[in-house]
Amino acid sequence: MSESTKNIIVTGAARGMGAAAVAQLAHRSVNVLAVDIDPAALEEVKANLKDAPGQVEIAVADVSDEGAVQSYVARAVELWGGLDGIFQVAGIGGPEFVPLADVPVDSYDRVMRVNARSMFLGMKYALPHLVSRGGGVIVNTGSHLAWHAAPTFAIYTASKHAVVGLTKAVALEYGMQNVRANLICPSAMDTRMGQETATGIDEANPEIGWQILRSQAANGRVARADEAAAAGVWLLLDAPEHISGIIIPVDSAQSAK
Amino acid sequence: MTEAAPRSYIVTGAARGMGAAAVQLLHARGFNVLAVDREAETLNTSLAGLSDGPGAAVGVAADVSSDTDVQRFVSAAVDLWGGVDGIFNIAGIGVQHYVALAEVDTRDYDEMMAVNTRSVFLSMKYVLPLLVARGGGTIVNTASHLGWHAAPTFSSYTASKHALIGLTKAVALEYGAQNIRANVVSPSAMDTRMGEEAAIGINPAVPALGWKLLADQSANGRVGRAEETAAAGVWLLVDAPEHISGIVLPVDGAQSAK
Repeated sequence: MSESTKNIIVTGAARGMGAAAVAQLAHRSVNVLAVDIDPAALEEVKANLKDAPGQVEIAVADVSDEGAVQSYVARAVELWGGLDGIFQVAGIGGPEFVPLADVPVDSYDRVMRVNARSMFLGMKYALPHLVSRGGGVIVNTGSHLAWHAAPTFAIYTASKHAVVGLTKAVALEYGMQNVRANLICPSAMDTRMGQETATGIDEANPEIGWQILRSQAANGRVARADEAAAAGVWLLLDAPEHISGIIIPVDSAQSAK
Repeated sequence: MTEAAPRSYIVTGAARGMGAAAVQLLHARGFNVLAVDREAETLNTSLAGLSDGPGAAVGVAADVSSDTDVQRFVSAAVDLWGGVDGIFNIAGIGVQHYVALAEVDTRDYDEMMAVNTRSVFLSMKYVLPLLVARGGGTIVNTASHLGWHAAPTFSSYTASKHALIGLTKAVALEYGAQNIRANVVSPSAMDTRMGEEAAIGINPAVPALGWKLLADQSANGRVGRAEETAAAGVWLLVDAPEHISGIVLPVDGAQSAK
């Protein structure tokens, strides 16, 4: 039984899509190391899953910090003796919704660190463990803006484009070692980041912002966090081995336009 | 107690390779499957190999590029099961002659566009009203790496698969509010008859070298297995979150990441 148990790290695990992924994996009997910067919300995720068949452990970490990433990867290996995959969900939006010349340099540095450097680090330190296990799966979280663009989202767009580049390169570099790396690209979701975006679009009336986000989708709604999580869980546990280096949009045909 | 009727799906190109694998996967999940192919004998042999299950697997011989044939097999599904929940279009042909565009026979071009593209237009055209009537449903069409990339001597095949992606995306946008999802699976070369044809087309003297060239496109050093692409399509058809529509799902060992 323990031989077939999988051990997977999920970042950004305290809420939204990350928390949904932790729950789905734990209910599939996967051991999950849930990583987030928010200790209280992480504890809540763990408490809610105490009866799930998979073990849920938590690690508080800033995913953009090299030492912190090394620590959480080491922790997973220590707990369970090896690693089968990592689902990197952690990321930030905004922070300001302004054209490029008005973006503070500090904001640029922060978004690139949290959204792109974190993915580099997570893969850098997880990959040797996946290789030594004979293979594994990496799923990173992009965005519609990982392969499209929108005004006032320049830095976020750049950071998520970078994630696509990193993921595809890893898929090509580690394919012979049976490591697969793929990307989930959700459109706006019913999450805290979705709320921030809606507010960013229309600060005075966020409902107008939500309407604009909903109108991008062919089904007239935003994505649910659990839908984007489910697509990632499919890639982690169920997808055929020949699926690697790809983008799975969860966007109700927004990118078909 | 009364159980809900099993869901019903149409699969085209069902006699062998990826299509036969899709029929098997859907049948194993307990669904009704209408298996369509123009090769009746191969189709019947393939269906006879299925183990017993709660769902029916019914074969229909049809030319998917013929308007009346498509109407006939769609009607057959309605007669059998009162409607359908989705269709997985797999039928298609590969390159007839591996030559540059000016040397492509116009009849070959017309055949390619009829079998690979017109077929998908027709089956969506006749299935969509049924899906709408049922309150929603799923469409999965089969493209190719060449549905969004190109290769010399594959011009008409490349065009036919590009067009298929265009049709699919448009349907995803047009019917999304009616809870219909339309997606594309996009395999690279597979271990199928069409894969064999491509390997021979690349190197008629030594097909093994053709196979090696195809395998070398993938990060894992092999071609796709028919059942992998079928499984990805079945996921889109049956299991994927509702918000997944209008997408191209490559099954290509990272070939398109290059």
